[in-house]
Amino acid sequence: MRIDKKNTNLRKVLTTPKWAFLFPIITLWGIVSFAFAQEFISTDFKVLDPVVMPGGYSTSTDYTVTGVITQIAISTSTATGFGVNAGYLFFPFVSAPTVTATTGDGEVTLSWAAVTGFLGWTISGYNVGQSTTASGPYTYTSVGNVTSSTRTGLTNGTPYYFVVRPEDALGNSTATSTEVSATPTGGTASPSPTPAGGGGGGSSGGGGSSAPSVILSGRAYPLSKLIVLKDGQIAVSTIAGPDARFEVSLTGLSLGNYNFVVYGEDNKGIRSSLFTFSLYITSGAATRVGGIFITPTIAADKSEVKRGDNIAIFGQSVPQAEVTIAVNSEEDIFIKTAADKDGVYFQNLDTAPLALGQHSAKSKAASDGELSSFGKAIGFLVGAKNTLFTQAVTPLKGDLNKDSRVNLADFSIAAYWYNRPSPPAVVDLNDDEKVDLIDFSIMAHYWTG
Amino acid sequence: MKDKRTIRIILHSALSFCILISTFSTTAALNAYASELFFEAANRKFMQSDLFTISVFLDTQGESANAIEGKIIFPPQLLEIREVRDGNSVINFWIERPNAEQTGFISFSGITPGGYQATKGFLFSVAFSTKLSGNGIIEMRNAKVLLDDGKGTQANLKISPFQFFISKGSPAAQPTAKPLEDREPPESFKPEVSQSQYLFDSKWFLVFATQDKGSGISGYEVKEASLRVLAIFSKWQSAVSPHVLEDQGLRSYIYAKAIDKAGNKRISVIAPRYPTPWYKQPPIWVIILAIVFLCLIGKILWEKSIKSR
Repeated sequence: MRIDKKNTNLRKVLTTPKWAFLFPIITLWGIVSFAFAQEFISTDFKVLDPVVMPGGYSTSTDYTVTGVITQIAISTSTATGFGVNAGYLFFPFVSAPTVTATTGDGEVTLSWAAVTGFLGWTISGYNVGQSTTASGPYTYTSVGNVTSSTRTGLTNGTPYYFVVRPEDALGNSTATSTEVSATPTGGTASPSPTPAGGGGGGSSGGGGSSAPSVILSGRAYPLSKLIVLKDGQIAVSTIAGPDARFEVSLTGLSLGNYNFVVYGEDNKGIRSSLFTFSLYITSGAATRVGGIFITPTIAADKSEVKRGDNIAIFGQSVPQAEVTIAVNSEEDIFIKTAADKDGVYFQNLDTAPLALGQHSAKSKAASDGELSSFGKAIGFLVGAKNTLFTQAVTPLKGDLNKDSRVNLADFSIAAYWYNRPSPPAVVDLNDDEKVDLIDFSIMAHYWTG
Repeated sequence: MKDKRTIRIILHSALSFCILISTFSTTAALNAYASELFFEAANRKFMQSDLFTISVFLDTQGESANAIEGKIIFPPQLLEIREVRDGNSVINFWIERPNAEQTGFISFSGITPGGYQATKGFLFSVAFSTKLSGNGIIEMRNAKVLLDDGKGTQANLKISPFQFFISKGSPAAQPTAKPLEDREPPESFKPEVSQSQYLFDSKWFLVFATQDKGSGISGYEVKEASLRVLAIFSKWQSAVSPHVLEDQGLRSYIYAKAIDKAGNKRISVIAPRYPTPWYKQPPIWVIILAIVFLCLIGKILWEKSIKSR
């Protein structure tokens, strides 16, 4: 929170003896305001420069509210017959879990990673929604604060659809996982998984298998390349359908933990951000991971734009998706636009409201009730001239051997220079004149396999 | 009256300052730990000449981490490393693979591309044998966990050391290392040929890595052969990635073998990038000439046998 130091009224009030005790607090807030800056920013919104004004007393027959200047906090009033809303609200939220389903004999085991709460949202437990119809309605069961649940008493051969919804202690929930489907099979039956073209984030068919396998499904970009990494190396690549849906099966797995990464490449070869998850593969089971929604790609036509001119921001997502573009500036700008039938979106951004300097834009997509995360951010400069964007302006970070990929070869080159003196500048990704763990972390972030 | 006002102002200011300081202290305490490295073992109390295994886990506390390094310190007068197992680790690529070759410490560093987020991510385990009696601590030093944010931001880290007690005397039954029950070969993998001006004077080199979910990778071997049929005559050579290729013309088949600690093997083959036409391959001509020679001999012998009848 920033106090408007130019506000002479506030100064006047604060220098009167009655409010003088607040002056050091406000001054300190002014000095250390960065400590709370994160409380005002989320991936979706930012509260900018609220100016705190002491309002004095407000009274009625039922309550008294005294002027108060404080950090945003839970407070109390003397109200007995009505609710009091604070002047500044904050909105706790929680990430949506990614659910995996493992089929068994008359049962399906669901597992997910613990969700993350923001702005004070605290996980209290999870509800598992179950249905025999895609997209529900679901029958919810509270399973407690756990990260797996086995749904028993299911009919073999019948497809079931599941969602998982995290809840706080008051039963509030702001997120629901994407739907995942699974078909339990009998112990003796071992039908092969049946790939399907669509199915609302999940897929039909499927089932058990004698050899462990993983079936991944979701949406990327129409007719685009989709790459799946298994433990950091390319395991399979496929092409999504015209509706952007994909389904891939990975076989030949052992029992144990696997890290999977899924990403897409759009019609211009631009890569999405990475969709990452871990799975524990169990014996004789087909594990399905559904509802993977690859983030939209993003690009701009200029690396520098003259202030007041337009910059074109474009990319690809799911056909007809609603795409939200977030432009980072002093006051963040959110623009909604629609993708066309090919999933392509295009938005001209007027840079007049943007301050001179470096900015970034990122996008997320919504379609059929599903929401992707924000994808990679693209940077651009608002300056005095227009410079067209070229690929050379943003080489792939971590691509040490210049083969347009970040993979084991680049890792090996960096590993050779690990903790050695005078490494080449290209290997030193953070320009600190040494190759250490930070350089590897940067490389791992931009990994393509 | 004015003095009273001044005192009130000072008291109010002091009170406010105290409240602020305590607020910041509480906030700092709440944010103190973002990740945790911890040890886990079935027991803490051992006898002399005992065997035990301790596992190292990472709790990312809801963050996504992609790189880790550290050094495990243990009292060498009390413990001796028998084995390090990293099969099924959440670390996909080791920069420094933990091994049993040092005394008193185990260094490790590695990455997980795309990041990893879990409350109990297995890093590796160490099998120790106990030596003298006494109390000791296995601890982690210089540990770093970096977030998957593209900047290598260091996560705040909590490390819980492992305390143990070794009593005098020997265990009732002589402990034996648990046999490796691993019949699965290492994961399939795709070695790659690469070249860089920053490595090996721009010579072509081979990179390879895989995992073994059971016992862990023991090592790799590499061989090259100009023809697949001749590969059986080539000798496997122990290798580490990156490995400089003998055939810098890239005309050979390259074989890479991963071997796990239970002896299971997985072999990957890369076809030559610039295959030599068969008629330019001396071994092919040797085989052709040998066949022709045998045919001629056969013909002569057959004609002789006809004549002798």
